[in-house]
Amino acid sequence: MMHDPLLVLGSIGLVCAVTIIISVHGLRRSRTTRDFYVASRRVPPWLNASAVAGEYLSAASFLGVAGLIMAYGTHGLWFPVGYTAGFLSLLVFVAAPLRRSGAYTIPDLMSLRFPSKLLRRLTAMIVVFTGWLYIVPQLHGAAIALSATTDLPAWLGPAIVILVVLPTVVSGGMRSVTLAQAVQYWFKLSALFIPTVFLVLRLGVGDTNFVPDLANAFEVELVNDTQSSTYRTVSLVAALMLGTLGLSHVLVRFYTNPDGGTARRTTVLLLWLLASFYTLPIILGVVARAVLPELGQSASTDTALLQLPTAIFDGLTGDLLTALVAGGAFAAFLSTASGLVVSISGVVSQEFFGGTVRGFRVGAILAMVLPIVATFVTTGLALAGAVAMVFTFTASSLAPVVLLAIWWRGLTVTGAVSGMVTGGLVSLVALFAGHLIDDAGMSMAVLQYPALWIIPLVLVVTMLVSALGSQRPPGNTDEVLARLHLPESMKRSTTRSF
Amino acid sequence: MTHRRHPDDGSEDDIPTPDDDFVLDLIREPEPAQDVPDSIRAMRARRVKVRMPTGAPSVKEVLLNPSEASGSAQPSRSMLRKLMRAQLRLGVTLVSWFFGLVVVVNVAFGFSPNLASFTVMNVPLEWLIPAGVFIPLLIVLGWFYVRRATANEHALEPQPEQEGLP
Repeated sequence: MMHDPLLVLGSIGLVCAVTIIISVHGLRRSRTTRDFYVASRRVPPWLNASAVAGEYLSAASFLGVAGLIMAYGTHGLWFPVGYTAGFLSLLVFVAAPLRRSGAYTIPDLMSLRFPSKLLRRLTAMIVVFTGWLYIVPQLHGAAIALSATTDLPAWLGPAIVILVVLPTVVSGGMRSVTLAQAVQYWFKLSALFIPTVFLVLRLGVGDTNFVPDLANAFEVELVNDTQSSTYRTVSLVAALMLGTLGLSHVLVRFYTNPDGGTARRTTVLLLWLLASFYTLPIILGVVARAVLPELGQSASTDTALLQLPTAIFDGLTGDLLTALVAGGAFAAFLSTASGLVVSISGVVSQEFFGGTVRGFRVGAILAMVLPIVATFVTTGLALAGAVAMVFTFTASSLAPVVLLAIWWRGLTVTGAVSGMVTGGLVSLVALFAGHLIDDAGMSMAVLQYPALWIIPLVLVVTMLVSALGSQRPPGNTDEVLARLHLPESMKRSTTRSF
Repeated sequence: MTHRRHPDDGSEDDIPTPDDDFVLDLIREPEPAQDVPDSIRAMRARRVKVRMPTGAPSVKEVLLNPSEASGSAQPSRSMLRKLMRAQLRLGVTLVSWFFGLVVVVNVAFGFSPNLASFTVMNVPLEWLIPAGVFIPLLIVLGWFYVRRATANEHALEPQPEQEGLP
């Protein structure tokens, strides 16, 4: 346990202060509505990639991956694989067409393809709902991190996150957030890299007081049913690979690329950044299995990273490293939460306030209200587990329709609507049913990890309804698809939007 | 004086009537002809007469013969479909290979615990393969995709005859 909570608080305070300073700086430079929304599309790939990574690496990645490796062993190891693979699907299916579409939000993309208010509203509702679901684990993470490292009450963690995120987003908008997100990626990386270096050095020196038996770490508690655990892992990877396509807070970032080619380069850089980051929680998670075996049996494996430094290093070194990890964790909560608030407010503003900056600000406040309530109502799900459920939901409801809208000429409004409704409802019912069932066999795995059967189901429903229904695809489909798929150099200037 | 229209302009008439209260502000319709002042119309007519490009010229247009580049810049519908098919095939192939490999590895480990616990440098394969093979593989696949996708797009661009000459 922590000896000096002041160090942790100091580190969290520093992260918050840096976030606020960068956004105030951004506020002075942000002048037009365009600056406010998409940073005027002048963001270079390396900065954009850092910002997407900063936004994407949430509580689930920072604390949750190591926590799952502690709790489930190799099953937890597939989470970072899936989280990274999501960006391969994003790269090959969505990155360049999305940027070339010139749309800002997923509802914008849908209304570019289809002149239907119903479809637009439905997409907007799913985006806002997903965002709300995703903020909840961030606030949970903040509570866990604060109570595991200090004696302060847990509610103070979420309170800090809200007090930093809301003013930042409301005042600075996207431009400031882009810079703050990019800085937060590098901070998160260092917050895990430095403890890992200390650890490796200590192992290298061969300190006799500290020789963890790594062989123990690799012992996997054999899950009684291998069939269901194989299904579980494969379905999880499917959910994470496609779920990323429906994450509006990640997709929003692609509008800030100058063109489709840079959007692709941004994504490849992102794969590098994510791969480098995930190496660290994997190493630390394996070491935690060896050093803190008793924690693996408890319910609070998400605190593994926060307890690891003091378990290995005595005195000030341990305290300083704990403070560093706690600061990094707060960077994760802040960056993901602000990204989510930006994307929810963008949608709310466009849907209900005609895209004004005032609407954006109202949306930002609305975006925080429901998750705060939900955080105090829901009980402690594992962080990465809760996020996996959000991925399953977006992979079922938004991703198949977004894919077909970009790549299939035959998609109709009725097809898209029935696909989204089917995917959204079936996945929610399956996830709820899966958590009510006690039996740990195949049926629970099928319900708790439904992506593997829901995604094909939604694709089939959407395509059948589109092909067999009486409705025809919009007459401008070819022109819109040309705009999505042709490189910018081949487009007429009139098709360029703002 | 004849006003030259782009061959594709006519097809915009096929757009079905949207919902009544639906406002799409992403594709801006050109202003109705009667709203355009005569002076502007006269200028537009002049501009067309001397074949001035409607947008900022690309580097290619500046460097090469402008009339040729602007004339053939918009590829035909069949070429667009060919490009989309090529890009989709590339994407689906890469993603299915990756996902197929995930399935194969998991099924193999499920059937053979000995394989899963076989150690390389003291690390069991069950741990080494997800972290050490799959994550780096994603970077390689991403890099490969960008190369191929960009090549597919370049293949579509009009090939200027001067290319390769000093």
